[in-house]
Amino acid sequence: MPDLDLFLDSRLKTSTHLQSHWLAKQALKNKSKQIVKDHYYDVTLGEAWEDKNNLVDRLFDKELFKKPMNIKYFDIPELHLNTPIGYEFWRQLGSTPESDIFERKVIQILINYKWRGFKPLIFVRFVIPYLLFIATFTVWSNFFYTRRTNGWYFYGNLTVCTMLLLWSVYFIAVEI
Amino acid sequence: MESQYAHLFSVDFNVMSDDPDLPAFITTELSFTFLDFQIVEKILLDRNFDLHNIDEQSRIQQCFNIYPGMHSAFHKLASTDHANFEHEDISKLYTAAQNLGQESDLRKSYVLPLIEDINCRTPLDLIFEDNVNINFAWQFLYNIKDYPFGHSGNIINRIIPKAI
Repeated sequence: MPDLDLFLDSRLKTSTHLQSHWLAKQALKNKSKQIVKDHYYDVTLGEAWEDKNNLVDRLFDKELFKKPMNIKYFDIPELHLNTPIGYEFWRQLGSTPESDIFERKVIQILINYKWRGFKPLIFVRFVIPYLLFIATFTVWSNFFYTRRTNGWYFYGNLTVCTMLLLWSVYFIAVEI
Repeated sequence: MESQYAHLFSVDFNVMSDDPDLPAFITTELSFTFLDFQIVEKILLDRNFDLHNIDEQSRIQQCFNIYPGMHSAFHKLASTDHANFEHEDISKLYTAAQNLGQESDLRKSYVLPLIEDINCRTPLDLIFEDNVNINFAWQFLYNIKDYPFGHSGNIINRIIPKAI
Protein backbone atom coordinates (compact mmCIF):
# COMPACT_ATOMS: atom_id res chain seq x y z
CA MET A 1 0.00 0.00 0.00
CA PRO A 2 1.52 3.36 -0.97
CA ASP A 3 2.24 5.67 1.97
CA LEU A 4 1.87 2.89 4.53
CA ASP A 5 5.31 3.92 5.75
CA LEU A 6 3.87 7.35 6.54
CA PHE A 7 1.19 5.73 8.66
CA LEU A 8 3.68 3.55 10.52
CA ASP A 9 5.90 6.54 11.32
CA SER A 10 2.90 8.50 12.54
CA ARG A 11 2.06 5.82 15.09
CA LEU A 12 5.10 6.69 17.19
CA LYS A 13 2.97 8.31 19.85
CA THR A 14 3.56 10.19 23.03
CA SER A 15 1.50 8.90 25.91
CA THR A 16 0.08 11.50 28.30
CA HIS A 17 1.13 9.13 31.08
CA LEU A 18 4.80 9.71 30.23
CA GLN A 19 4.62 13.47 29.80
CA SER A 20 5.98 14.17 33.28
CA HIS A 21 8.35 17.08 33.64
CA TRP A 22 11.07 14.90 35.18
CA LEU A 23 11.04 12.65 32.11
CA ALA A 24 11.39 15.58 29.74
CA LYS A 25 15.14 15.76 30.40
CA GLN A 26 17.13 12.56 30.67
CA ALA A 27 20.36 11.01 29.41
CA LEU A 28 20.43 7.75 27.46
CA LYS A 29 22.79 5.04 28.59
CA ASN A 30 25.95 5.19 26.46
CA LYS A 31 26.19 1.41 26.29
CA SER A 32 22.86 0.80 24.59
CA LYS A 33 22.00 3.99 22.74
CA GLN A 34 21.76 3.88 18.97
CA ILE A 35 21.32 6.41 16.21
CA VAL A 36 18.71 6.68 13.49
CA LYS A 37 18.04 9.68 11.23
CA ASP A 38 20.53 11.77 13.24
CA HIS A 39 18.64 11.11 16.46
CA TYR A 40 20.00 9.17 19.39
CA TYR A 41 17.51 6.71 20.80
CA ASP A 42 17.07 3.58 22.85
CA VAL A 43 14.30 1.02 22.84
CA THR A 44 12.61 -0.94 25.57
CA LEU A 45 9.47 -3.02 25.79
CA GLY A 46 6.82 -1.50 27.99
CA GLU A 47 3.25 -1.71 29.10
CA ALA A 48 0.74 0.89 28.04
CA TRP A 49 0.83 2.08 31.64
CA GLU A 50 4.50 1.64 32.39
CA ASP A 51 6.05 2.22 35.81
CA LYS A 52 8.08 5.41 35.31
CA ASN A 53 10.83 4.43 37.75
CA ASN A 54 11.38 1.10 35.99
CA LEU A 55 11.46 2.87 32.65
CA VAL A 56 14.08 5.35 33.86
CA ASP A 57 16.20 2.52 35.26
CA ARG A 58 16.08 0.63 31.99
CA LEU A 59 16.75 3.49 29.59
CA PHE A 60 18.55 6.32 31.33
CA ASP A 61 21.81 6.98 33.10
CA LYS A 62 21.26 9.25 36.08
CA GLU A 63 24.93 10.21 36.26
CA LEU A 64 25.18 11.74 32.80
CA PHE A 65 24.27 15.27 31.72
CA LYS A 66 20.53 15.42 31.01
CA LYS A 67 19.19 16.62 27.69
CA PRO A 68 15.67 17.18 26.32
CA MET A 69 14.06 13.82 25.66
CA ASN A 70 10.95 12.50 23.90
CA ILE A 71 9.51 9.21 25.10
CA LYS A 72 7.25 7.60 22.52
CA TYR A 73 5.36 4.38 22.16
CA PHE A 74 5.14 2.52 18.88
CA ASP A 75 1.40 2.05 18.94
CA ILE A 76 1.18 -1.11 16.82
CA PRO A 77 1.99 -4.06 19.05
CA GLU A 78 3.32 -7.50 18.14
CA LEU A 79 5.19 -6.55 14.97
CA HIS A 80 8.48 -6.96 16.85
CA LEU A 81 7.55 -10.34 18.37
CA ASN A 82 7.92 -13.90 17.13
CA THR A 83 4.18 -14.36 16.77
CA PRO A 84 2.25 -15.20 13.57
CA ILE A 85 1.61 -11.47 13.06
CA GLY A 86 5.29 -10.67 13.66
CA TYR A 87 6.51 -13.44 11.33
CA GLU A 88 4.13 -12.30 8.60
CA PHE A 89 5.22 -8.68 9.01
CA TRP A 90 8.91 -9.53 8.56
CA ARG A 91 8.17 -11.91 5.69
CA GLN A 92 6.24 -9.21 3.83
CA LEU A 93 8.82 -6.56 4.69
CA GLY A 94 11.53 -8.80 3.26
CA SER A 95 9.76 -9.19 -0.06
CA THR A 96 8.18 -5.76 -0.56
CA PRO A 97 9.15 -3.90 -3.72
CA GLU A 98 8.45 -0.58 -1.92
CA SER A 99 11.99 0.25 -0.84
CA ASP A 100 10.90 3.67 0.48
CA ILE A 101 9.54 1.97 3.54
CA PHE A 102 13.11 1.35 4.73
CA GLU A 103 13.73 5.09 4.81
CA ARG A 104 11.23 5.44 7.64
CA LYS A 105 12.40 5.97 11.18
CA VAL A 106 10.12 3.40 12.74
CA ILE A 107 11.10 0.65 10.31
CA GLN A 108 14.80 1.35 10.92
CA ILE A 109 14.19 1.23 14.67
CA LEU A 110 12.34 -2.10 14.35
CA ILE A 111 15.15 -3.55 12.22
CA ASN A 112 17.79 -2.36 14.69
CA TYR A 113 15.76 -3.85 17.53
CA LYS A 114 15.57 -7.22 15.81
CA TRP A 115 19.23 -7.07 14.78
CA ARG A 116 20.21 -6.59 18.43
CA GLY A 117 18.70 -10.00 19.14
CA PHE A 118 19.84 -11.70 15.93
CA LYS A 119 23.45 -10.51 15.91
CA PRO A 120 24.72 -12.84 18.68
CA LEU A 121 22.72 -15.73 17.20
CA ILE A 122 24.28 -15.19 13.77
CA PHE A 123 27.74 -15.23 15.36
CA VAL A 124 26.98 -18.42 17.27
CA ARG A 125 25.20 -20.26 14.45
CA PHE A 126 27.11 -19.06 11.38
CA VAL A 127 30.30 -17.04 11.93
CA ILE A 128 31.91 -19.16 14.64
CA PRO A 129 31.11 -22.52 12.93
CA TYR A 130 32.41 -21.10 9.65
CA LEU A 131 35.68 -19.99 11.25
CA LEU A 132 36.06 -23.44 12.83
CA PHE A 133 35.33 -25.04 9.46
CA ILE A 134 37.99 -22.89 7.77
CA ALA A 135 40.47 -23.69 10.53
CA THR A 136 39.78 -27.41 10.20
CA PHE A 137 40.16 -27.22 6.43
CA THR A 138 43.47 -25.32 6.78
CA VAL A 139 44.81 -27.93 9.19
CA TRP A 140 43.67 -30.73 6.89
CA SER A 141 45.12 -29.24 3.69
CA ASN A 142 48.47 -28.21 5.26
CA PHE A 143 49.21 -31.09 7.60
CA PHE A 144 47.16 -34.16 6.81
CA TYR A 145 46.41 -34.22 3.10
CA THR A 146 49.99 -34.55 1.80
CA ARG A 147 50.97 -37.03 4.54
CA ARG A 148 47.78 -39.03 4.66
CA THR A 149 49.52 -42.30 3.75
CA ASN A 150 52.19 -41.98 6.50
CA GLY A 151 51.57 -43.80 9.79
CA TRP A 152 49.12 -42.15 12.20
CA TYR A 153 48.49 -39.34 9.70
CA PHE A 154 46.20 -41.83 7.97
CA TYR A 155 43.90 -41.93 11.01
CA GLY A 156 44.31 -38.19 11.57
CA ASN A 157 43.29 -37.58 7.98
CA LEU A 158 40.20 -39.76 8.45
CA THR A 159 39.26 -37.89 11.66
CA VAL A 160 39.69 -34.43 10.12
CA CYS A 161 37.81 -35.47 6.96
CA THR A 162 34.95 -36.70 9.17
CA MET A 163 34.98 -33.33 10.96
CA LEU A 164 34.84 -31.50 7.61
CA LEU A 165 31.97 -33.72 6.54
CA LEU A 166 30.10 -33.00 9.79
CA TRP A 167 30.62 -29.25 9.35
CA SER A 168 29.25 -29.51 5.81
CA VAL A 169 26.20 -31.41 7.07
CA TYR A 170 25.73 -28.72 9.74
CA PHE A 171 25.83 -25.89 7.17
CA ILE A 172 23.35 -27.69 4.91
CA ALA A 173 21.08 -28.34 7.91
CA VAL A 174 21.02 -24.70 9.07
CA GLU A 175 20.33 -23.53 5.53
CA ILE A 176 17.38 -25.89 5.24
CA MET B 1 -36.64 -6.86 0.47
CA GLU B 2 -38.45 -6.37 3.75
CA SER B 3 -36.82 -4.63 6.66
CA GLN B 4 -35.10 -6.88 9.17
CA TYR B 5 -35.79 -4.47 12.01
CA ALA B 6 -38.81 -6.38 13.39
CA HIS B 7 -36.82 -9.62 13.50
CA LEU B 8 -34.09 -8.10 15.63
CA PHE B 9 -36.14 -8.53 18.77
CA SER B 10 -36.55 -12.25 18.28
CA VAL B 11 -32.81 -12.80 18.32
CA ASP B 12 -30.93 -13.65 21.49
CA PHE B 13 -27.66 -11.73 21.30
CA ASN B 14 -26.20 -13.64 24.20
CA VAL B 15 -24.38 -16.32 22.25
CA MET B 16 -22.95 -19.37 23.95
CA SER B 17 -19.49 -20.49 22.93
CA ASP B 18 -19.32 -23.75 20.95
CA ASP B 19 -16.00 -24.62 22.49
CA PRO B 20 -16.60 -27.25 25.23
CA ASP B 21 -13.26 -26.38 26.85
CA LEU B 22 -14.16 -22.76 27.10
CA PRO B 23 -17.83 -22.43 27.95
CA ALA B 24 -18.68 -18.78 27.81
CA PHE B 25 -21.26 -16.32 26.73
CA ILE B 26 -20.64 -13.53 24.30
CA THR B 27 -22.84 -10.64 25.22
CA THR B 28 -23.29 -7.87 22.74
CA GLU B 29 -24.69 -4.49 23.49
CA LEU B 30 -26.24 -2.64 20.62
CA SER B 31 -26.75 1.04 20.11
CA PHE B 32 -28.82 2.47 17.28
CA THR B 33 -32.19 3.94 16.49
CA PHE B 34 -34.87 2.77 14.10
CA LEU B 35 -33.96 5.60 11.74
CA ASP B 36 -30.26 4.66 11.83
CA PHE B 37 -31.12 1.05 11.06
CA GLN B 38 -33.32 2.08 8.16
CA ILE B 39 -30.53 4.20 6.72
CA VAL B 40 -28.03 1.37 6.98
CA GLU B 41 -30.44 -1.00 5.30
CA LYS B 42 -30.80 1.52 2.50
CA ILE B 43 -27.02 1.70 2.15
CA LEU B 44 -26.72 -2.07 2.03
CA LEU B 45 -29.66 -2.91 -0.17
CA ASP B 46 -30.35 0.05 -2.42
CA ARG B 47 -27.70 0.51 -5.08
CA ASN B 48 -29.14 3.91 -6.00
CA PHE B 49 -29.18 5.33 -2.50
CA ASP B 50 -26.94 8.38 -2.27
CA LEU B 51 -25.14 8.81 1.03
CA HIS B 52 -25.09 12.55 0.49
CA ASN B 53 -28.84 12.58 1.15
CA ILE B 54 -28.07 12.08 4.83
CA ASP B 55 -27.25 15.19 6.82
CA GLU B 56 -23.82 15.43 8.38
CA GLN B 57 -24.98 15.00 11.99
CA SER B 58 -26.73 11.74 11.10
CA ARG B 59 -23.68 10.53 9.24
CA ILE B 60 -21.50 11.15 12.30
CA GLN B 61 -24.14 9.54 14.49
CA GLN B 62 -23.83 6.43 12.32
CA CYS B 63 -20.13 6.17 13.09
CA PHE B 64 -20.88 5.65 16.80
CA ASN B 65 -23.64 3.06 16.33
CA ILE B 66 -23.23 -0.63 17.07
CA TYR B 67 -25.44 -2.89 15.00
CA PRO B 68 -26.20 -6.61 15.35
CA GLY B 69 -23.06 -8.68 15.07
CA MET B 70 -21.30 -5.73 16.71
CA HIS B 71 -20.94 -4.15 13.31
CA SER B 72 -20.20 -0.48 13.07
CA ALA B 73 -21.33 1.59 10.10
CA PHE B 74 -17.78 1.22 8.76
CA HIS B 75 -18.22 -2.57 8.77
CA LYS B 76 -21.39 -2.12 6.78
CA LEU B 77 -19.68 0.15 4.25
CA ALA B 78 -16.69 -2.18 3.98
CA SER B 79 -18.85 -5.23 3.35
CA THR B 80 -20.96 -3.86 0.53
CA ASP B 81 -20.22 -2.61 -2.93
CA HIS B 82 -23.72 -1.16 -3.14
CA ALA B 83 -22.91 2.01 -1.23
CA ASN B 84 -22.95 4.96 -3.53
CA PHE B 85 -20.13 6.96 -2.01
CA GLU B 86 -16.63 8.15 -2.76
CA HIS B 87 -13.77 7.01 -0.61
CA GLU B 88 -12.98 10.59 0.34
CA ASP B 89 -16.30 10.57 2.22
CA ILE B 90 -14.59 8.56 4.96
CA SER B 91 -12.13 11.43 5.39
CA LYS B 92 -15.02 13.89 5.52
CA LEU B 93 -16.62 11.88 8.33
CA TYR B 94 -13.43 11.93 10.36
CA THR B 95 -12.96 15.65 9.78
CA ALA B 96 -16.58 16.36 10.65
CA ALA B 97 -16.29 14.42 13.90
CA GLN B 98 -13.18 16.39 14.82
CA ASN B 99 -14.83 19.70 14.03
CA LEU B 100 -17.92 18.68 15.98
CA GLY B 101 -15.74 18.39 19.07
CA GLN B 102 -14.08 21.74 18.48
CA GLU B 103 -17.42 23.49 18.13
CA SER B 104 -18.82 22.08 21.36
CA ASP B 105 -18.40 23.82 24.70
CA LEU B 106 -15.94 21.19 25.85
CA ARG B 107 -13.59 21.94 22.94
CA LYS B 108 -12.59 18.29 22.85
CA SER B 109 -11.47 16.35 19.83
CA TYR B 110 -13.82 13.48 19.15
CA VAL B 111 -12.28 10.34 17.76
CA LEU B 112 -14.29 7.86 15.75
CA PRO B 113 -14.11 4.32 17.09
CA LEU B 114 -12.67 1.45 15.10
CA ILE B 115 -14.13 -1.69 16.66
CA GLU B 116 -14.09 -5.42 16.12
CA ASP B 117 -17.30 -7.24 15.29
CA ILE B 118 -18.47 -10.44 16.96
CA ASN B 119 -16.02 -12.40 14.80
CA CYS B 120 -13.14 -10.13 15.82
CA ARG B 121 -12.92 -8.42 12.44
CA THR B 122 -12.44 -4.72 11.96
CA PRO B 123 -13.66 -2.91 8.84
CA LEU B 124 -10.05 -3.08 7.61
CA ASP B 125 -10.08 -6.87 7.97
CA LEU B 126 -13.20 -6.97 5.82
CA ILE B 127 -11.56 -4.81 3.17
CA PHE B 128 -8.48 -7.05 3.07
CA GLU B 129 -10.52 -10.27 3.09
CA ASP B 130 -12.39 -9.59 -0.11
CA ASN B 131 -11.38 -7.60 -3.15
CA VAL B 132 -8.91 -5.23 -1.61
CA ASN B 133 -9.81 -1.61 -2.19
CA ILE B 134 -6.56 0.19 -1.46
CA ASN B 135 -8.16 3.65 -1.48
CA PHE B 136 -10.81 2.63 1.02
CA ALA B 137 -8.24 1.05 3.35
CA TRP B 138 -5.91 4.03 3.04
CA GLN B 139 -8.72 6.44 3.98
CA PHE B 140 -9.05 4.64 7.31
CA LEU B 141 -5.33 4.51 8.00
CA TYR B 142 -4.76 8.10 6.92
CA ASN B 143 -7.48 9.39 9.21
CA ILE B 144 -6.47 7.49 12.32
CA LYS B 145 -2.77 8.24 11.94
CA ASP B 146 -3.01 11.27 14.22
CA TYR B 147 -5.36 9.66 16.70
CA PRO B 148 -4.08 9.36 20.25
CA PHE B 149 -1.98 6.54 21.68
CA GLY B 150 -3.88 3.28 22.17
CA HIS B 151 -6.69 4.04 19.75
CA SER B 152 -6.70 0.90 17.62
CA GLY B 153 -3.13 -0.37 17.24
CA ASN B 154 -3.89 -3.69 18.92
CA ILE B 155 -6.66 -4.56 16.45
CA ILE B 156 -5.13 -3.27 13.22
CA ASN B 157 -1.68 -4.81 13.69
CA ARG B 158 -2.71 -7.93 11.76
CA ILE B 159 -3.54 -5.96 8.62
CA ILE B 160 -0.14 -4.22 8.49
CA PRO B 161 1.61 -7.24 6.87
CA LYS B 162 -1.22 -7.47 4.34
CA ALA B 163 -0.97 -3.75 3.63
CA ILE B 164 2.78 -3.96 2.98
